[in-house]
Amino acid sequence: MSSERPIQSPGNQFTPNNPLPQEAKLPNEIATFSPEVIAEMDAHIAKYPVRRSAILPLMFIVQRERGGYLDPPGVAFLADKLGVRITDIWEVATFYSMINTEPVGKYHLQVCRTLSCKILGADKITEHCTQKLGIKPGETTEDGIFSLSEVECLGSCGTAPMMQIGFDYYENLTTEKVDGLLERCRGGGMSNGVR
Amino acid sequence: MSIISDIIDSTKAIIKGMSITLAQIPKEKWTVQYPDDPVTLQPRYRGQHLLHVDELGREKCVACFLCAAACPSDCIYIIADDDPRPEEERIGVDERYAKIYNIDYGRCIFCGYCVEACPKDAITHGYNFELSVYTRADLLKTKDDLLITKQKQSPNYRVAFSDEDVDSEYKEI
Amino acid sequence: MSSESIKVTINGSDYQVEKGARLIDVCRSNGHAVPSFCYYSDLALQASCRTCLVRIEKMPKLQTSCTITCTDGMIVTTESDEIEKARRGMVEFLLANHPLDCPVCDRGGECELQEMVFDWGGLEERFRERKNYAPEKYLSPVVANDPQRCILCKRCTRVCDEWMGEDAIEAGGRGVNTVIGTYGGWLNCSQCGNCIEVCPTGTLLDGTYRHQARPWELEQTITTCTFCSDGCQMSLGSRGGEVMRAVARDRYVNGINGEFLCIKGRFAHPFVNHEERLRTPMIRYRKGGKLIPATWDQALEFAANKLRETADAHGAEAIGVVGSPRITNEANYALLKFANEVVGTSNYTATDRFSLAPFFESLGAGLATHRDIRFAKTIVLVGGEPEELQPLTGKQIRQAVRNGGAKLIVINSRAIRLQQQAAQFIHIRPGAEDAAVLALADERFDELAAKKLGVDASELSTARGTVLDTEGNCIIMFGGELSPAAQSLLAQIPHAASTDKRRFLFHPLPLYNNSVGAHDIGLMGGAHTASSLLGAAGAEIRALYVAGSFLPDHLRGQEEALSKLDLLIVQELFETETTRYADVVLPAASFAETDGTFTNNDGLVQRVRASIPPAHQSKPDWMITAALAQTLGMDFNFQMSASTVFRELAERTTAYNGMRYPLLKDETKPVQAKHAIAPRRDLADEIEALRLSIESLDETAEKIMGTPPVGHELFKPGELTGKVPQFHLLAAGNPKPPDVLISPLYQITIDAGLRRTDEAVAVAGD
Repeated sequence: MSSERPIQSPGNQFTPNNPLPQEAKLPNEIATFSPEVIAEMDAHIAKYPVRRSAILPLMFIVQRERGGYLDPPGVAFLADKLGVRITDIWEVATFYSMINTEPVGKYHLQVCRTLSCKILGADKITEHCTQKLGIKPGETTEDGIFSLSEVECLGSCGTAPMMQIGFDYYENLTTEKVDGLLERCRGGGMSNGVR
Repeated sequence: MSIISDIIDSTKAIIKGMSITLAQIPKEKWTVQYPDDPVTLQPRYRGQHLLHVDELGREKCVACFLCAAACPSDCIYIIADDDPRPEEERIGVDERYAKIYNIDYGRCIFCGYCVEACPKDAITHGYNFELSVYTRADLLKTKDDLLITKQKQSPNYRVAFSDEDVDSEYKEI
Repeated sequence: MSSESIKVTINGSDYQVEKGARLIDVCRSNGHAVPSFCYYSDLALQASCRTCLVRIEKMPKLQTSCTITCTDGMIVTTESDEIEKARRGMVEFLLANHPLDCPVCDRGGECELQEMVFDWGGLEERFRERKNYAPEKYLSPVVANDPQRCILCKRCTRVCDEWMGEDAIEAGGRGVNTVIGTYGGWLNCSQCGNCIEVCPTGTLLDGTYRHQARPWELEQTITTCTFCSDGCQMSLGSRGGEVMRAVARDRYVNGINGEFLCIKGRFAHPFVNHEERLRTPMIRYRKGGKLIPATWDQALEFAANKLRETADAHGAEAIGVVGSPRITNEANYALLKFANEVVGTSNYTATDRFSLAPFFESLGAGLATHRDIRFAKTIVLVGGEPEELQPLTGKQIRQAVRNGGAKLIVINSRAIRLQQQAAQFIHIRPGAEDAAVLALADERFDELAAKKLGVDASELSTARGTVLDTEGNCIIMFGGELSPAAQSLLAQIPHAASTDKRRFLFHPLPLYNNSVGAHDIGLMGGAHTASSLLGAAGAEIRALYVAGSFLPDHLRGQEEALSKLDLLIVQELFETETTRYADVVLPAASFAETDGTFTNNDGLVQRVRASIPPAHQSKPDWMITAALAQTLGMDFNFQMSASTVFRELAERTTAYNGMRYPLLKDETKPVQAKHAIAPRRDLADEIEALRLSIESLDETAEKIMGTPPVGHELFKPGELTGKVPQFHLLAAGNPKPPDVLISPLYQITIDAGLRRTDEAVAVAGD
C-alpha cells in the first residue's frame, strides 16, 4: 500500500540488510597518486590486452590508497586512467562487496549469508556481531574501527559459517571465535588488507 | 336496459370499491411521508458519488483515470497533478492526486462502473439522491461536492439495516 | 551477406529462412507469437528476461529464442504445456518485486509488463515476502525513475550505450539489489530520453508528462518533429486541445527513427500550449506605438492597404517576402506564390543559416536515407556536429561504426564527440573546411591544404585512400561551414570516384526541419538572402512580409534596419525580436496544429498532421498567406485544404512531381523527393576560386582543443525550447537538487540568471 510508504532519504532507500548500492557524490576533482602506485597500476594494466580489464586490480589499489573506499576523486581517476565512464566504475564497484563506495571502518567484517553459511548459523554470527559492536549490517561503529556487512557466497562453504576480514577468511565460526577475533582486531593484531 | 338496473349496478360497484378502500383503513400504512419522514435506502443504493479519504484524512484517489475510462456516459473529468510535498502534508495518499475531479450529473446514469473500476476504493456511490437543481450548470459536481469530508448528507434518507428493513414499493403486501 | 536459404520447422510448419536469421524474428514474422522483454532488435543480446523460451529438438533444455541463430533442419515448438508453464513461472518471477502500483504509474495502459501479465500472469501472487522498496525519484529534470518497477531487461543501458554512445545509465549492485542508475544518482547526459521510450515498464518515465494524463485518453497523431533536419517521426499525444507528450513508441509510430527521439523532439513540445502564444492578430497603428489586438479582418485589411500603398509608391520590388525553414512546404509555397503572383517581386528568401542551392545544383549522387547511413561502409563527415544538431544522424553514424563496422572519417575543427568512433579524425584549423574539401576532391592540392589545415599531408591522402578503397556505400556529410564553391566541388566528387562497387550518397546537415524543403520549393532562389534583405531595408526594400522570424544571428546589429521599414508584417507563434518592429502581427499555428509536409535531410517528404486545433485565434501559415492574397484580390483557390496546396506545389516543383498526400500517408514507407542528378561539369572556376580563398587563410590560427560538452547545442534555450523550464535547468549545468524525490523544477528557481548567456543568441535548430 502506498500509504504505508515511509519517506526515506535517497541515501538510505534500501532495507538495512541490503546496504548496496549507495549513491555517491559526483566527483569534481581527480585523485593523485605517488609514482610507485602509478607504476603498480601500470603493471596491472600491462597484463591485459584491453585496458579496461584492469578495472578490478586498480580498484583495489585505489581503495587501499584512498582510505579504504572509492571516494569520488578516486573514481574520477579510475575513469580517466582506464578510459571508461564513471558509470562503468559505479557498475563494477557496486557489484562486488569487497569494493566499498562509502567509507568503512578499519576492519570490515563481511559475514557470508549464502545458503551453506545460513544453514550453519550465519544469522547467529551476524546477530552476535551486532550485539557486540552495537551496529547493524551496513553500519560502522562510531570509533571507526568496525564495519559489518552481510555478503554473498565467498566460496568457502565447506567451512561454514565464515566471514572475511580484509583479505583473510575466518572459518568454522562460533560466537566464541568471533569474540576472539574482535579482541584481536581491537588489539591491532590483525591484517585488514588495506593499511 | 332500464334506469333501475343501472342504479343497481352502480351501487354494487361503489360498494365493491368502498369495501376495498374501507378494508385498508385499519391496516398498516406504507406511504412514506417524504420529506417529513426519511426514505429507507438499501445499502447498495447508488446515489451521488462519494470520494473517500484514508485514516489520515488524505484523499484516496490517485487520479488513475480508470473511472473515467470505465464511464459509459463520459461524465467524469479529471486533471491529475503532482504533489511534491512530503507524504504527511499531501492532499492524497500518493504523489499523484486529482487536482480536478468533476462528475456531470446531467450525464451520469448511476451504473456504478466507476466504483467497480476504482483500484483504490476511492469512489463509491453514496446515498444522497436529491440531485435536482435550478440551473443545468449546477449538475456539475466538483471535488468539493463529492469528497466525503465535504458532502452534506441529506437528512431525508436512512439506510436499511437488513433485507427485511424496507419501505414503500419493496414491501410485501 | 549470405542469401543461402535453410529450412526451419516451427510448430509443424516448414519455413525457408535466410541463413543466420535469429529464431525469435523468424517465429514472429511467421505468426508464432513469442513474448519477450529484453530482446530489442538492433541492440546487443541480453537473454535475461527468459520469457522467449522455446523447445528445440535435440537440445536438452528450453532455449531462449532471442539468442538462437537458425540452423538447417531445426525443429522448434513455441507452444506447449511445458513452455507455458515456464513462461508463467518467469512472469511470476518478474512480478516478485514489482510494486503493482499501476493506478499511479504513468506507464499503466501501455505497459509491456502489464500486457505480458494479462497473457501469461497468474491470478494471484504467491510471493508474500516483503518487497525491496525504493521510492520514486528523479534522475534528471526530464527523467523520472522508480527503481522498484524495474525488471532488469537492461534495454535502457544498451540503448544509452549503443545508440547514444553515452553509457550514462547502468545497472549497479547485484542480485536482488540490482538497480538501474548512475554514479551520483544524477543523470548527466544528452537527456535524449530513449531509455524512457524503450523501458517496457514504468521504471523510467517522462519527467515532463509525469502524472498529467493516461495513455488511453490521449489522441495519438503521427507527425514529423519540428526541431532538426532529421525529420524524426513521432506521435503527439493530445487531450482536450492540449499536447501532452511526444513519443516514438512503435505501438504508435514506425518512422525512419524507430523509437529514437532526442531531447528536443521528446521534451520540447510544451511550447505548443504555452501561455505566451500570440492570441489575436495585432496592429501597430503608428510607428513607435503599441501593438493593439485586432480582428483578422482588420489586420488583413490594414496589411493589404499598406502593401498596396508601398507598391504604388515604390513599385512591387520594394516588397520583400521572407519564408522560413521551420514552416511547412505548403506555407513556404504559399509565400512564394504570394511573392510571384500577388506582389510580383523577386525579393523573396527564407531565413536559413546557409543555402544548399550550390550543392543541389551540382548534385552528383542521390541523397542518403538514414537507413543507408546505418549500413554504410564509409562515412565522411566534413564539419557539422550531428550528435548535437542532427541527433538521429549522429546515432545512425554511431551504429554504423559500432554494429556495422563502417569506417568514419571526421574532418572538423573541434574534437566533436563522434570522433571517438572515428577511424580517422582530421583535426583542422577553424574555418578551413573548404581546404579539406579541395584536398578530398583533388590530390594536387594536398600540400596547400595540409599547410592551411594544420595537418600532415599524409592524413589527407589516407582519408582519400579510405574513400577510394570502399566497397559499398560511401556517404558524404557536410555541415554549414562549407562555402558555396566547396559545396559544388563536394557534390561533384561521385562523378570522378564512383565505380560499380562503390556508390556515393550525400547527406547534407542543414539546421532546420524544412531547410531542404525551403530550397526545393525555390524560396531560397530569390534575389536576396535574409541578411542582404535586411541590409537593403529602408533603402530599396520598403516593406517586408515575414513568416516566422529573422534568426538572431541575421538580426544581430541589424535590428535598426527593421525599424526603417514602412511596413513589417510578421506571422509568428510568440512575441520575438522581429515582432517588436512589426506593424502587423498575425498569430500562426505551430507544427502540432497544422497539416502539411516537411522535407528532411534525406529528401524524404513527410507528413505533418494537426494534432490539436489551432491555439487561440491562430491559423496555419499558408492559410494566412492565402487570406492576405484574398484581401488583395487574388484567390489562391486552396479550398481551405492543405492537400490542395500540396497538389499544386507538387505539380510545380520538379522534385515533388507526382506526390500526393495519400502517397505520403504511411510513415513506414517515406517517399523521397527526386532531386535531379547534375551531369559532370567543369569545375575549374570553382577550384581556382577555392584555391585563392584558401591561400588567404591564416596558417597560424590556433586549433580549438577539447571536446565540446554534451548538450552545448541541444540544451540551449531557444525561442521554442526556451519555453520549457527544464531546458533552462539543463542549460544551467543540470544541477542536482537537494532532494531527488521531488521534481527539480519545484526546488530550483529558474530565473534569467540561470539562462546560459554566452551563445544564447545563436540558437540553432530548435
